[in-house]
Amino acid sequence: MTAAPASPTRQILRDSARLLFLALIPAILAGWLHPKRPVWSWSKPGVTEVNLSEITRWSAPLIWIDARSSAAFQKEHVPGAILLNEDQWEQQLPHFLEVWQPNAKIIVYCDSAACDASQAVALRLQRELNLSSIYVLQEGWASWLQSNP
Amino acid sequence: MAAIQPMKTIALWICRLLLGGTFAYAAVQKIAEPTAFATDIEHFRLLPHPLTLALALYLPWLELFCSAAVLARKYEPSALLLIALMCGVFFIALTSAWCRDLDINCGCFGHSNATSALPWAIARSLALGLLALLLFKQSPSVSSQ
Repeated sequence: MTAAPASPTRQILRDSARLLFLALIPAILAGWLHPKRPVWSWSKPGVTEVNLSEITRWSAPLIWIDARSSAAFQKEHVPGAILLNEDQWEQQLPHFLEVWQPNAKIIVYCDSAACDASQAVALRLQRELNLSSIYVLQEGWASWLQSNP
Repeated sequence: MAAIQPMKTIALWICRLLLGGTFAYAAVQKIAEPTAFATDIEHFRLLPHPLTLALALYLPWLELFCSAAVLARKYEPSALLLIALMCGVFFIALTSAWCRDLDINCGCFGHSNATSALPWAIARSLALGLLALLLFKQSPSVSSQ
């Protein structure tokens, strides 16, 4: 006596569950062994955001980093800002290293609150160069324009 | 009528290769760089942080298994259905990012530094989802129902 074959719908659901389960095995192994696995944490690691009025009260020298595209930077930027974005990180980083001073505070900005480029660049600077005095400008370039029309 | 059948078989194989190949390529790129992919998911601002990490590790493997299943024709209808579902989710996520005017990289093919055009990524996810549904409807176990 043989069992009746499963209905096609049931078979599809069963095979889908199989695929979903199979993918779980290497995913767990990757989370444990992958050399580039993400670091587990409950909250998103982020760089402190500051607004312009807070920055104007600082006495330390400032280094402005423009994390927007090269085209946006060429069009307009904060006076004295350095272009450093993830598109051309390797080419632009040496220029940042030339102007960097140990006592300076670094402020990174991108277009507005809707962009993440400033956080990405600030985090990368923190991670790769072990910099501590680094901040992200709240609302980015949009807030600069608002204060400096 | 008999001449149409081989043409249809060839066309279906081309679609299978296109869909399976695209998903396999996308999966391999993301498997190689899970942290970068997690960052890309994070930029959509749709999920809590721990879930983005889990998804960055799990989703590429699901894509890889589904593409392998489509190309090997093993568990094919299920793999196609899962691909169509994934495309649906990508479509919703990309459209929401576009509506919120987010300037982000879609992360579709791993982390590239250039921000890709979201409307193009939306159209691509829609096209791939429809292709998966078309192949699903052509699967022997589904079309015989």
